[in-house]
Amino acid sequence: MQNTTEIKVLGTGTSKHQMVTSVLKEYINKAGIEITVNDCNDIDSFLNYGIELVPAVIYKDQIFNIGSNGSFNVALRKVVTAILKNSNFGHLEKIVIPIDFSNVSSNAFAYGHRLATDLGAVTKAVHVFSPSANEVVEGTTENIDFIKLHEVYLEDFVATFDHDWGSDLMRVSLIDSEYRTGFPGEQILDSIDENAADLTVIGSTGKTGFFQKWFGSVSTKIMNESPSPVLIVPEGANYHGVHRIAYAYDNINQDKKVISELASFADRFGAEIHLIHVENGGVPDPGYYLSELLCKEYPSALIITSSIKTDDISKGITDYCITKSIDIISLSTHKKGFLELLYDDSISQKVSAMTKLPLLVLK
Amino acid sequence: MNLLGPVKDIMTANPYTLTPSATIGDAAKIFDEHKVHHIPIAIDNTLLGIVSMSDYLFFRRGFLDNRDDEKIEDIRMNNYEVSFIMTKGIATMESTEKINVALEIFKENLFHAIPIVDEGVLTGILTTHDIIKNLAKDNEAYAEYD
Repeated sequence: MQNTTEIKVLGTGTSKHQMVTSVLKEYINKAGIEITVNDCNDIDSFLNYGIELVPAVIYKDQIFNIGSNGSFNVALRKVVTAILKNSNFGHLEKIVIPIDFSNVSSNAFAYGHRLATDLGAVTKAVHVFSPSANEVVEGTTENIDFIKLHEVYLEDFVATFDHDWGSDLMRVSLIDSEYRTGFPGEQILDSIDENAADLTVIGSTGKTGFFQKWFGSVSTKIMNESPSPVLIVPEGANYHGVHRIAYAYDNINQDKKVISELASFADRFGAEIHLIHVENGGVPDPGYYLSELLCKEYPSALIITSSIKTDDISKGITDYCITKSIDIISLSTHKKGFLELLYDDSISQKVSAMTKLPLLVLK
Repeated sequence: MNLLGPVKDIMTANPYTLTPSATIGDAAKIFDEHKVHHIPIAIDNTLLGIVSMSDYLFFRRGFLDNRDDEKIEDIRMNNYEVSFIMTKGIATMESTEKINVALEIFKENLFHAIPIVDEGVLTGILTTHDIIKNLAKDNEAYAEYD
């Protein structure tokens, strides 16, 4: 019986062998998991394990062959993911991205995965299968296993993003997939909870009209009930880094928690925080108070305050976001009325901008 | 083509370039519209790397057997920057160096393009295609000092 806190890397000291060892050590170190990585160059022991190809990794009596067929990089990523998964990826941040294979959710996945890469986080692809009445009938009468079918869809989807496409593949966020059955809203919230997700990235339907229709009912539920921040990615949004985050507020006193959360998120990217106050009905601008709060958490050089005087709040904020090339707009759920104002009516110009701007909902 | 002439005689001056933050989709557009095979990646004409058609096709490789997934392919290309697939630390030449030096570099290595950099500024690109094009213009290559 092998020690469960030990990983053996079997090989002959080649460059690939060394790379496997160093990558495993790096990830285990980053995740803060107590596992030791040991090299094993003894050819006799390869035979004892029944290994024909090296390098190979042995963990918990499980043998992972690397590079025996297919891509070395992809095999290495699979080994690292499988080992770290046992301890829920340790200290590494986790970004949960629900997918339903629609274009909207595929785009949100691409966006979230790219964001996770910049954050050094792990991407969790969560698919919830919720059988329709038709599928239940077809499954019984025609003997189709829809559960299995959707599992295969999920595997294929993840493989699409996880295949080898460059030498920098280890730099790209690891992808772990999770398959669940039930009601999407509840299951995704359970997954966020079980994975202790630091962020959830979810696609929005991008439809105009009512608030719920804009985001979709599942997104709305997650946005309201998730304990951690939620990033809502519209279909037209593409990731170009996070350089400028706008925080729109009106006259409500901000609580400290939201501000520090915003500061720590922006700090990860070294992004500017644009505090936009909309003067609506002569309410005095509490911007100085906010910047003071933020300065304690964040370099003051990166805080920009501005005030917009307009009758149409959403148009004012949208125009500001376009001219300043804002990457993410951020709001707190405390101010749902304000959020609705931003999205709830359908002026064509506003719609075109909001269909490209991801929305970070803080708690 | 005078093999002892400077590379600036046959190089492609002012090539199409992209910044590292441009998406792979932007690179695809240049490959498609301008029929080039190499795009130097630069900021303000300072060279940082190069993206070749092979780098691009390698990125897309997973889709080539499944043409139904074009939408996901677009999504991926629009969310990844060229900096992910570009080759860094590449060989460069000055525009005054001789063509036969470039021939030696191409002979010894597997790549097909050398960015031409003068005093830190990207001024052109020399590809194996430029050499073939110029050879085809002449009846034969010759060597002669000016």
